[in-house]
Amino acid sequence: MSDEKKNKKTLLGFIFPVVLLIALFVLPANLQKESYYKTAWYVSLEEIKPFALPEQTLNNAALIPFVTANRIGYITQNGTLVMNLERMNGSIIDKNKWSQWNSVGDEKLIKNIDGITSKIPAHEIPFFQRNRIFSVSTDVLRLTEYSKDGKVLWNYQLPCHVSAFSVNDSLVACGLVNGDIVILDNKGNEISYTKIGGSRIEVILGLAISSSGNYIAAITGIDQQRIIILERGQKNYRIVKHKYLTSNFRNQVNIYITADENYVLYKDMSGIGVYGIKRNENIVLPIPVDTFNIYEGHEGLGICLVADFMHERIVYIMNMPQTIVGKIILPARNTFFTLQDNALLFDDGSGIAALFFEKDMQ
Amino acid sequence: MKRYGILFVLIGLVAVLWAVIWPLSYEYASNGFGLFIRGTINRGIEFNSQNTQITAPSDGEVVFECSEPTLLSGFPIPEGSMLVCKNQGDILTIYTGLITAPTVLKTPQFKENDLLGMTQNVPDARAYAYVFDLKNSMYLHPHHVFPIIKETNAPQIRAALLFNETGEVQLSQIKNIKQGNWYLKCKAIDIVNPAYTDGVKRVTFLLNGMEKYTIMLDTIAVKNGKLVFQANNSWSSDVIDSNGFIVLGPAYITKGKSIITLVLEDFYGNTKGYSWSITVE
Repeated sequence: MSDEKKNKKTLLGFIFPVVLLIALFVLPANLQKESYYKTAWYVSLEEIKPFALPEQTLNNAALIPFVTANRIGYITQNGTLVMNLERMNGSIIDKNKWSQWNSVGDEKLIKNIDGITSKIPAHEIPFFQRNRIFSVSTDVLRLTEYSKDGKVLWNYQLPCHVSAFSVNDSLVACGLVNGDIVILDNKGNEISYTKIGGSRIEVILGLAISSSGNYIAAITGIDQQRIIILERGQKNYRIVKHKYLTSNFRNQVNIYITADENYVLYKDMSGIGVYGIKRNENIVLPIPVDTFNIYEGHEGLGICLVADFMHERIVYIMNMPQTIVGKIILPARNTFFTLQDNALLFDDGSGIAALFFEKDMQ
Repeated sequence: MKRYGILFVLIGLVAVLWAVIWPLSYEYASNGFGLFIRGTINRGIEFNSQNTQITAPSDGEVVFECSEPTLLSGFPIPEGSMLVCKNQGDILTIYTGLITAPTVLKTPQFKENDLLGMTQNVPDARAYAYVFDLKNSMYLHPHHVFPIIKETNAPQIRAALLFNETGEVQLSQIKNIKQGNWYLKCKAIDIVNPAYTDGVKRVTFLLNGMEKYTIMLDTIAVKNGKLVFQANNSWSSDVIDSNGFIVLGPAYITKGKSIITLVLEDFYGNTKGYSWSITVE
């Protein structure tokens, strides 16, 4: 082989991986055609007198629960108000049930949309998570789960005050102010108790449990603060990945595991961190946030990240791990936001609007 | 036994080394440690006071602050706010129901007597203070670390019953019981001042002058989701029942005349004994 040919081969051997690297990491991703949205409807809540849920059996799949600054109720995806009540001091609602009370000292009535009601005793504070009914004692040191018909399924005395909490369909994860993480099964049995450690001061500031329960992500400690990933082992959860952070938050921090369990999104000093669970991503998106929420709708839409920052609420539509497809600024008086399939619903303080995302509009 | 000795020494050391002040005057205290209030065992001290300063009992720094009615996940925050501080001696002081001072949010480190916050400016404002021992993972009666209150009121019994699997009897009413194993259950309080009712530190059950069972109620720990207390020098989870009764025993009571005695001790060195004479058939 001549020297010229050899040089050409060497040059190609060098150029090819460089081009591949540029194509993969530098050039923009080959995005799907842009998503568009159109306003579908707007319903005023203030102009309509409050009314309760009708007696007849309802198809709960169609109901979207909402809580605004003044109202609580259900609306359908086509904008029909099904329940519109004035908010009381305590108001909780999910797609199947709701409850309102004036004082913690009152007995609370949980009303299911199928007509079944149950009671939570006075001096307990109920809350709903993932279609489950929980309550805590007034000092929030005893956690109880109730069945739909009001039976106590289990109760658990918490070892210390809770600073972070996460639930999936079968597990409960409690992050404590002393830096420990307790995992309970759906009978209230302690299946894991982990002392995290690794920082000058131990505390759990954010906690997320994945939908399968295989992973738990947490923001822990002060000096230095860390993000940790725990994986479910045969007997316990153990730390499989961690990263020291530059932040030193001393309040609750958002953390979220995506439905596919590939990524953790968390609040970082300079934006929103994206940390790979099974992947190696370690990115900070330049999205300023005080707090954020994630909504995952239908597959083609990607992720809706609702960021609150300096009294402004912005919805970022994202393709993971780092492509921001677009953003929508929500009205100043917005309280309620949800994503239902391709419909984005939100309020402006006096009514609810819906935007429908549509793909490939010409 | 040795372990518990070490534990007492450690708690004692915390108390001695931790030169502290009350975060707000005990004159505002209403319900004390170990009392059964609103369906739960109080692990701190409840204060009732409107728009009153809460100051740091000793040097420390803020670990966690939340001024929302719930955590991000919807988990409720008592009285709408929580402030957790780490103090010297591996102690956490936890406050709920206060409006946190902006200074503490800006500079998390603080000195003794620095302002941590205010109680809410409403007539029925309630705030709680808890003392958590990080080394032993347990809540301590705040009197272990806060300056002692000088009072001479003896603790009191509100109700005392004997019970076993066959049923229960009020000690003040019954004269005859059947021979066998019996438990004693009681409600005991200590009235520190007309506004402040505290729990009791120690309850002892004696049968004919012989000590049968002693419960210490100055610490509360949790094991496997159950409250545990020191009973007869070991941790026991069956010390307080779901109605807030302190449960002691069992003790085997044999035929003949017996004297049942209950001795209560408060946190300020006052003790009081109650005795009942019964005939066992």
